[in-house]
Amino acid sequence: MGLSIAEAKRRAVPPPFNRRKTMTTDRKIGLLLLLPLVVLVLGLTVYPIVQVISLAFQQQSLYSPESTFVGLANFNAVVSHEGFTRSVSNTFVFTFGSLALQMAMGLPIALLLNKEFPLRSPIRGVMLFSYLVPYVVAAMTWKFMFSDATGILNYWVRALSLPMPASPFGSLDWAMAGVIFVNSWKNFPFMVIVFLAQLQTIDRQLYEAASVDGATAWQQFYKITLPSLLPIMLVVGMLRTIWNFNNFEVVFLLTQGGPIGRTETLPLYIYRFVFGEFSLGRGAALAVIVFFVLLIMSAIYWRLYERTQERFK
Amino acid sequence: MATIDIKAIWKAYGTHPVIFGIDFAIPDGAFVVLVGPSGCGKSTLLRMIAGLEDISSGEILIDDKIVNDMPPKDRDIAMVFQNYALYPHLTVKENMAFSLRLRKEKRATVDERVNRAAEILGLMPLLDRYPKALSGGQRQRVAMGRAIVRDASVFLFDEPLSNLDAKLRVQMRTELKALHQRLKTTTVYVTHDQIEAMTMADIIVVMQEGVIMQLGTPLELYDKPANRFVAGFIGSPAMNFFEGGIQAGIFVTEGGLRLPLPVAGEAYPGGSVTYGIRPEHFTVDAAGVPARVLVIEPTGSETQILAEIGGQEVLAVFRERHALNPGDEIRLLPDTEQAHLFNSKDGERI
Amino acid sequence: MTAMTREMPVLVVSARARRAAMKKRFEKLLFLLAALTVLMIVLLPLLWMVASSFKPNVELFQRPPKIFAQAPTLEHYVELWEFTSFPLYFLNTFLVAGISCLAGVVISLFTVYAITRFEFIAARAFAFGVLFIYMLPPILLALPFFRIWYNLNMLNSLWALGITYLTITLPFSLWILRPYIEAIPRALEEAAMIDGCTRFQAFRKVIVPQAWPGIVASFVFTFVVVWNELLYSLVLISDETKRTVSLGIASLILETSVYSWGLVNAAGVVATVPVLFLFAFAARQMASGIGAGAVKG
Ligand SMILES: Nc1ncnc2c1ncn2[C@@H]1O[C@H](COP(=O)(O)OP(=O)(O)O)[C@@H](O)[C@H]1O
Ligand SMILES: [Mg+2]
Repeated sequence: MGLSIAEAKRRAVPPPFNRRKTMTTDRKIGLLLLLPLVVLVLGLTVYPIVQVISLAFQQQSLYSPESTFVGLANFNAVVSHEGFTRSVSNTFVFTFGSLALQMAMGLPIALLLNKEFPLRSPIRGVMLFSYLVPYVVAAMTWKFMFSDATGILNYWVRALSLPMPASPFGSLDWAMAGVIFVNSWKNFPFMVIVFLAQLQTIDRQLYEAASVDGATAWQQFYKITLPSLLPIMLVVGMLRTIWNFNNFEVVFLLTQGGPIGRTETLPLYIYRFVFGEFSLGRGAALAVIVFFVLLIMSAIYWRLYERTQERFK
Repeated sequence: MATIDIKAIWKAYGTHPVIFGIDFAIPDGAFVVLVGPSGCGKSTLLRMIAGLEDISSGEILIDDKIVNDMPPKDRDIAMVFQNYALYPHLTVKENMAFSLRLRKEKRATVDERVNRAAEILGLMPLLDRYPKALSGGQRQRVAMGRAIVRDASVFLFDEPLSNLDAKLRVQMRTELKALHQRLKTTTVYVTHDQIEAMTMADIIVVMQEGVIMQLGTPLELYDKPANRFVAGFIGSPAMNFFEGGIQAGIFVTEGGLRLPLPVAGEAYPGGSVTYGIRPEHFTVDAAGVPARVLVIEPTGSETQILAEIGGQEVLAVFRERHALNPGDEIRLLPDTEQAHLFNSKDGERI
Repeated sequence: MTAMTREMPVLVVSARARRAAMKKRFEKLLFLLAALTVLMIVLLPLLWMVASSFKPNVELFQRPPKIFAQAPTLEHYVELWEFTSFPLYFLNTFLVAGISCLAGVVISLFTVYAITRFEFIAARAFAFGVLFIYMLPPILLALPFFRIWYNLNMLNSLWALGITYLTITLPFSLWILRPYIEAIPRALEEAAMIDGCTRFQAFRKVIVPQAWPGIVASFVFTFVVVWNELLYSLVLISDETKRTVSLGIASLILETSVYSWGLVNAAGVVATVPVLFLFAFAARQMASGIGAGAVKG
């Protein structure tokens, strides 16, 4: 007793810590708890992805058990197909058109709902409704409102002679705008929620200090609000880009890709290949291409995100 | 009632050891305080006794039974956590009854034991409240209540008072001590506050960096600190130290200050030495060393004086009142019987 | 005179203060009006749906259209209930969503608990990686799932659909639950274990009540997502008796060229109500916080 630390530590010969020869029961329980997730992820994600990749290299019809290895033939076939470039460009127009509109709706509305006014919290709740309703309901109501003979908007477009077709979803020039609008109507509240949450974290004192320093409202927005929203805008932008890119329901329900392919995006194009033409192999090849495009876009967003993080930290 | 034996206990996180083969035994009914600066491994050791932390090597015995692989619930221990860890979704009463209900005690027994504990701790009016509606001191009491209804054979406390304000801390200290005297349950109490250790402990274990620096009763530690670390850690205000060497039976610093030696030091062969003297062991005496008064702090019961001796600041405490002013030149005489010598190299007591 | 000079500044200040307060009230009113206007964009189509579902067929074709029915009728709801398979679709959807959401929440609860309490570093990274599933195009997974269930002869099985939906419910509830579980102090369950709980009992008596708002939230949100899902059910279900609500409505929209709009609107209302109801319930549960999770004994 009563040694100096150095002396005590020198005298104490460390025993070989049994590096978990026998794992404690506690840790075994921990591993057991992880098992379901691991099994499910292997079964429900890894295995299907492996399958889809292998399907992409096979000649494979939807309902037939036979398949033959065809190398890159499926990729060649889908890429040179006349519908491919069209659906790629449609997808990008749909994705980024929707993103722009969702941002344009989401940001100002979030700023507005961040102000103080009576009934604010019920209004915030109701603002989410369009995000909560099923896609089928969203598509149905808009289709109904523009339907001939029964649609209220259809009637008013005609009655007021507005410079747009009374049935935009059937119009060559307006169908894309129509699906972009409905997709944005459905999904902009997601942006509102996220932006509101971020706005609430901004320290009020920053604004007070700025207004004492004589900053105008516009300058306050530009110098305080916007920079603090920028990183989250990138994250949300990435999420929505991916989700818009993957979106199948809106277009499928409103136009099914028509008229004459004007709104056919890649998910619909894949769906048509597989369930219309029963070519599972070609659909899989397309899906793999889509997957890699998404991967590249995510990487770009990630780089942007990291750069803003550096700038504002 | 129980004894606890700690035998060559090591703890490593990964391969990085934080407890270095600690040994000691706790007799039945003792109040043992583990004290040391924060990060020295007190909580880790306590949690190993509780069964919340794996033991890397060595053995812990409770009542002569090895408990290394025994889950906490079978060790018959009760523990009070630093942040109390009250179940937020249960009322005070339900919190205290939690362990008894788990043991499927009869309703009447549960009520009776909870009520008795609540009475001892003055919690009767709060029984139906939720923890978030309690003050810090009340939460502390509930945490203690939860421990005492158990009738466990060992109590473990991990810095239970450190979140209370100073006044409440002193009050709870006394209550805890009284509780122990009443229940006589073997207790291990962790704190970084040496005053808590001195006032409450039967046995103090001073730790630093995962090693026991000294084990003993409060007065042993105060009177005969085994090394410079313990000497500096125990006692408030802290001991004064001078660095120097021994020449012809006298302690001499580099600055030429000469201090009389305690008996033990006179035969010391040489080398550099640390001379320690507690503030309360100075007297104002014409035979002392010259000192210049810098600051005077009377507290009523005693007077603290910060003085300069041989170019070094020294603290002295007097029970009697001296008419002194800053700047006064006085002579301070250390009580050689109460002076301590340490080897400067390894800090060991000489 | 002195009284005057003393009063003057007080008067000036209070007038200015009153003007500022009025300006503030005016601003608030303005914001309220703006918010209500914006709200109409969200609400009008839905209100139109509800109003139309109560209109007899003649009124649906009335021009100019009136917003509210002059002779409100429940005929479309009666038709939905008695002459379509929608009651069955509801049952199917509740079943599928129930299975996949419950399983998703329970497994996420286990997983999050394991990774936050046992410090498996690889597991932590893995669980984080699961979120990546949520980014995968559903059409990419739909193809192999079709193949897998086809090979197992389980197309048109609600079980197969429910298991497929785990790819949605698992990552989502994992993501929602994690912060709730991480926020529970470890000392709480340590205290429980010292008080005599096994690890499992501590989990049940301490972790579950503490994480209750998160559990409700993940159940509700995944339920809503599954309730609204279309693609997987479209791909995996062709048997008319196994349809989900979304698929049922989609079929109504797609199969009949002259819609019976009244019926579709009624179906839309009925499909929307559970979602909004659940959401309101979840919002209340989460707002009332930890106290709501109190369990007896
Ligand atoms: N889970 C852990 N992983 C790694 N190191 C830890 C862990 N817990 C504690 N330590 C380290 O062990 C040492 C002792 O910690 P502790 O027992 O909590 O000290 P204290 O005496 O303040 O209670 C500290 O250096 C701490 O950093
Ligand atoms: Mg500690």
